Amino acid sequence: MAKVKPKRKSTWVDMTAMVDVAFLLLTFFILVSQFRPEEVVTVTPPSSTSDAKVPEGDLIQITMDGEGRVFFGMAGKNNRMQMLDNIGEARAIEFTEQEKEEFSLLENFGTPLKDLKSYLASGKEARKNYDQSTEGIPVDSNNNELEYWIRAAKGVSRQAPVAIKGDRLAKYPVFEDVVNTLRDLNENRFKLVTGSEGEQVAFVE
Amino acid sequence: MANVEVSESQKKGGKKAIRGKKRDTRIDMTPMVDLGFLLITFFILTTTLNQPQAMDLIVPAKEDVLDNEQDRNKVGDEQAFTILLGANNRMLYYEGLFTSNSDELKPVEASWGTGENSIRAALVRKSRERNPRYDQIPVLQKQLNAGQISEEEFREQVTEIRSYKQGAIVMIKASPEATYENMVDILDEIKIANVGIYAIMEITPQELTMLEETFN
Repeated sequence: MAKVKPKRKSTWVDMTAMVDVAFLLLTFFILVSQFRPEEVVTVTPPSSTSDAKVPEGDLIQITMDGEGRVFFGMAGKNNRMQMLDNIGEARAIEFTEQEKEEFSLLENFGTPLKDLKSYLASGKEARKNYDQSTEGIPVDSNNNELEYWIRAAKGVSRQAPVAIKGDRLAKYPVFEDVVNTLRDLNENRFKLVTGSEGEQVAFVE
Repeated sequence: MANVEVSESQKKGGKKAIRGKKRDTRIDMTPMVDLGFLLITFFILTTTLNQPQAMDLIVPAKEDVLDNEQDRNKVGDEQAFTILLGANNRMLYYEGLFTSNSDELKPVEASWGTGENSIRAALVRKSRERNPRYDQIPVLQKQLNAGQISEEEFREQVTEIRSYKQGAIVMIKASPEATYENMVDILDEIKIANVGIYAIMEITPQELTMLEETFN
């Protein structure tokens, strides 16, 4: 007796619905996404239970990496251009239009002023190498360039909030130097960027 | 895969070709789905969906430092609670002020997190000891959660309790070997324990010696 052959079912699946879903999600992610700005150093901030957000807008960000180097950055291309103008004026350095353009593309930098011009003139690869080996922005009391930069940035926008983003392993004296610099400039209120940890409550019976 | 091509072969079949042939309009969508999900993956991986958290830190203005020097003398011996952050994530705390008769100070090592000898427990104990209204904060929190009082009311009352003048005054002093993480963690503990008055101060040589003596 011939066996009844199971009917071959078509494996065709209608994908239209799936395409719809895929593109819907795609649209969502495109709309909500903000590209992570390229960072010259990677830092892992410590976590805290704080639920406040880092303010947006003209944020001034001071980054400390694990080796104690300090980097500086300000949000906004135009802000950065103005900031370079300000610092050029304050430190009597002339910057060309091209240098300004290059500078305005830097989200973060850890270049002492004396190297800034050569840094701006160099290419991408050279910059990467430089970022690896740089000492960061000097914060010591006899040559506090961080102070100049904060002044320049505050000259662009007086209300700009200041955030400190430090690596977990950054040593405390670096943080102290940064805080003291801010205090010298009468910036007594700032944010510490941290990862989130969820809320915790002290145990009280 | 290629359903569109099927109609091609039907053409040769004969007369039927003359009539307007019905084409199969089904298109294989699989590559499109692939592409869609590939792009989604890309966007998920490159986006930062939420803003990072931040913690507020307010430091006293430089001009106030002189006044603080005098204020410091006003800090009662029984109010003072000093935390010393040392190397390797270890810390000490002692109660009372560092004066000439420092032999009486008993530095205690505290641990992170929760537990009997954690810094959190110590902060809670000290705050409760000093501030008679300290235990009202969780009560208020409960009321807030139950919707009995408004957010502003809650904040106002908590601020009032915290700023109690005779309450505990916590001084945080970090040694050069402490890390930034230790500092953030201790500020966090202070927030969790609802400590009202605290300050970050410079560590003194005596305190450094104290750290060394206790840990070695």
